[in-house]
Amino acid sequence: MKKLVTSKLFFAVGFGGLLVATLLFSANKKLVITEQPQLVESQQDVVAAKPGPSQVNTARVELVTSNGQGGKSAASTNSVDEQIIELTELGARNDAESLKRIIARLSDSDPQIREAALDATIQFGSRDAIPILEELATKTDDPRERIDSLDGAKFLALPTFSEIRAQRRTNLNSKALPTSQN
Amino acid sequence: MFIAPRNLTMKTISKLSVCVAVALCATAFEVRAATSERLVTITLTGFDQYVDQTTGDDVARPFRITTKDFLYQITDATGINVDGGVLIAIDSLDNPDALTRIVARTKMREVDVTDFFPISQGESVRTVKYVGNDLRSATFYAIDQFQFSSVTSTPGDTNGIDLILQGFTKETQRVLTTRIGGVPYSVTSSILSSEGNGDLLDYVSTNRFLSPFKGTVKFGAPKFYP
Repeated sequence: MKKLVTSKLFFAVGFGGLLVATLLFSANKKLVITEQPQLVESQQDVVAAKPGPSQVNTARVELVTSNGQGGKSAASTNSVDEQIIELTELGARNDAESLKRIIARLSDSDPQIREAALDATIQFGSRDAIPILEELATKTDDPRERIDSLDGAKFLALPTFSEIRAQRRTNLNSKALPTSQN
Repeated sequence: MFIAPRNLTMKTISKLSVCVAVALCATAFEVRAATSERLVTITLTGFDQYVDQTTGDDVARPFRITTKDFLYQITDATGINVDGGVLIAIDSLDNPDALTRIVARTKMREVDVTDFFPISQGESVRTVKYVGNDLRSATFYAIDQFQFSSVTSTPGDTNGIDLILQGFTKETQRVLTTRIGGVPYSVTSSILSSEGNGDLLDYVSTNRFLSPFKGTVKFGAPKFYP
């Protein structure tokens, strides 16, 4: 009788343990899956928009002034920190849709989100955003945000590092040309 | 259909299942090497000197360098395409003494690029808030040095850039409890921003160009993973 009880106890503990282990594994799997879509999306953008850090090819984008629908819906579900991270990730991409989503947040009601959106616009690096930032500067009442927007527009107007490098190469080649012909 | 060997009793099966369960649990917990990830953003303005071909004058012109340029340099140096990806600083939550790793991540791959970014941390002063004996928050101020080098040591190969930024760094830390993969963790949430100046040594077709620059390096809000 005692043997039977011990055996049943072992059996219960064993299968209970297996169940816990299975749950732990599935929890891990779920987390991995939830991370993936963001990365998948970004890579599709990369493939679509290649190449070079500065040759950003974007369609025309317009400033969304009515509180930015994208930002509004995200705000109801995500914390400010998560939205900031999302904006940073969007800034790393090269596609027009990402820029649109960033720009929608430039007029978010939360100043932290607006700041993150401005940073993301700068990281995105498209000159298409220059008039949008200039327009934003005329609409904000906050003097610091006005200065930041104008600084952002000025930064985007600068030549990129890769453009400078390309010019250096061209200059070097044009200097080298006469000697190589002689 | 599974047919148990004749000498496999119920008791043995039970024991085996306990062993398997323990092993699986151990493996599952081992997978949980919790980490904190912070997105790194670099925004710099450099000044390049060139000779105006029409006038013969020396002209200094500003240009911009951002994270995308660094990823492009890494792609160039390693031959592994990380363009369009993000730079991420990864810290271990299980081992606070482990060094911060920097990775370049795209959907396709993740490349450890820590070696490209030697970071030297200077002395810091801090404001620390305790509740009882527990650290709750801290703010550090320091002059830190951030470097990036994609110039290979191969003789004759002088493609790439060397960059040193010495910046005034402010790092804010908050200790909080969060559930990571269903498990409660006490974690330190750290955000760092360094603003300063530096030199950029750029090799183009074996010619060297030096540029001074100013700007910021930011390690953003952390995301926690099991």
